Amino acid sequence: MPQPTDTPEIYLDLRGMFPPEPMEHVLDALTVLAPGQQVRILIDREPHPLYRILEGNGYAFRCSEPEPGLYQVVIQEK
Amino acid sequence: MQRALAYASSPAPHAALRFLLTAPWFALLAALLLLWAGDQAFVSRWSAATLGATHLLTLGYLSMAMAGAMLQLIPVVTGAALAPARSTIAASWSGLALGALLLAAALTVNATPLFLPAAVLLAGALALIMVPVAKALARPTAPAAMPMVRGMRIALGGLLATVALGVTLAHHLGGRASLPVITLTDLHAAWGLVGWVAMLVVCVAFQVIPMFQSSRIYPALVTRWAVWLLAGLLAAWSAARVYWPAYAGMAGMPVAAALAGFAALTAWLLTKRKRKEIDATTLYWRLSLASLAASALLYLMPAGEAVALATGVVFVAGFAMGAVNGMLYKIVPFLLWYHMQQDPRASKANVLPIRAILPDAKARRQFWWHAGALLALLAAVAWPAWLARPAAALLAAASLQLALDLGGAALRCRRAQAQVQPS
Repeated sequence: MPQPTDTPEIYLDLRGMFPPEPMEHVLDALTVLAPGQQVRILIDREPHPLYRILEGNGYAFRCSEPEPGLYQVVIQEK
Repeated sequence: MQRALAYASSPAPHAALRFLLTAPWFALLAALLLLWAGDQAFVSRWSAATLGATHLLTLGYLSMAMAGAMLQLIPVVTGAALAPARSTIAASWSGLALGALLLAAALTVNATPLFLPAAVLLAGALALIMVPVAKALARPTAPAAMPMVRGMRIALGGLLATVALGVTLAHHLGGRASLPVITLTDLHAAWGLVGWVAMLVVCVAFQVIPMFQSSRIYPALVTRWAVWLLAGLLAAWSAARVYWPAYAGMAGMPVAAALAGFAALTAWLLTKRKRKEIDATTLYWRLSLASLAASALLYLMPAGEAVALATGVVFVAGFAMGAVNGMLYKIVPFLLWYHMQQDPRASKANVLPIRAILPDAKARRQFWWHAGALLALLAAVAWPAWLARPAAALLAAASLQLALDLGGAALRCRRAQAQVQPS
């Protein structure tokens, strides 16, 4: 589980994990997210179920596809 | 630590769970019907009990589970909202369950007055659930989700054709019309098993094999064209079956070859997995793919009643049930876990780990029972007098285990949630 840090972001490489491990890691990271910090994840599929949770809980996020089949999602509090 | 997240906009898992948890009980009913009928069920695919058991499996088990899986997979993969009203879900689920029971009863005891009510009930129930599914699939979607969405759109067409042919047959069996019943039955079975069931398994495999088996993704050429090819070959076979019946067997060979090709490609992808851990779902995919290849080979053998019956057994109990059983052991624990996450009172400590919700050891044990049942059912085609009832008993034991494993997981989660105190 991620620990609170002073760095500007919590970085999670979630590639190769079986569902729902990636979502568990992101939810854990959000519980330790400090004001001004962001979570950045790398994942090999677009995490639609996570988006719905983020939208309902006041988080902003943006997703990019740096290469085919690889997604980067950056999450911040609104 | 409290996660303090609200999940109001997340899709309710109840809808999918209702279908997924009910389905295995119909497989048990089918097995009990085979147990009751004994060797009579293995004489021919036209035997009354065989037709009854087949429809308990294809409607009560496979279609029930596939409807639940679509309700779950479409929002997860495409991001499209798919949340039919609770009343719609309840009506569709009840209609599908009651319709499958009525149709199986009508076929088993040739109860003429029941055919048309059963068909109308089933058509209505499937329309209720598939209209919102079709609307969700009609929306524009991201390119990454297209392989699954494209196949699901075609599979819905296959289901529509199957239901239309089924209602027409029910009209005939109910004594209201005289129709070319053998041709219609062949078309109904082919569109149901290939156009609906196989089409859906193929396009879902494009999505879930790389996701859950950590394999490479399928080649883009395959995910773009395979489902269209399968649909086109099935349409060509249908035309041959209707207009040039002497060539229908030959016209079916490309369909068998296409399905065998999918089985071979997927098996090859599974050998190249990045993670070497073999769970029950991996075992089930192996069984399912081997069964699909075997059914394609059986199709090439000289026609005969035993070969036709064996092809049906290996396709339904091996390929289709193998894929769906494996999927149930993945999707149901995930939905229950997701449901627990949604409980606003739950803290992280209250949410059971997914492996504790349904341990893989239970799923693996059930897999071996099902694999044993499949072998016994195939042997029963050759020696029905000796093996029909033992095979049916094995299938009943495997299906009961599946139903209890999934139901037990749901109960475990409910108990864990009941213990949660507001924090």
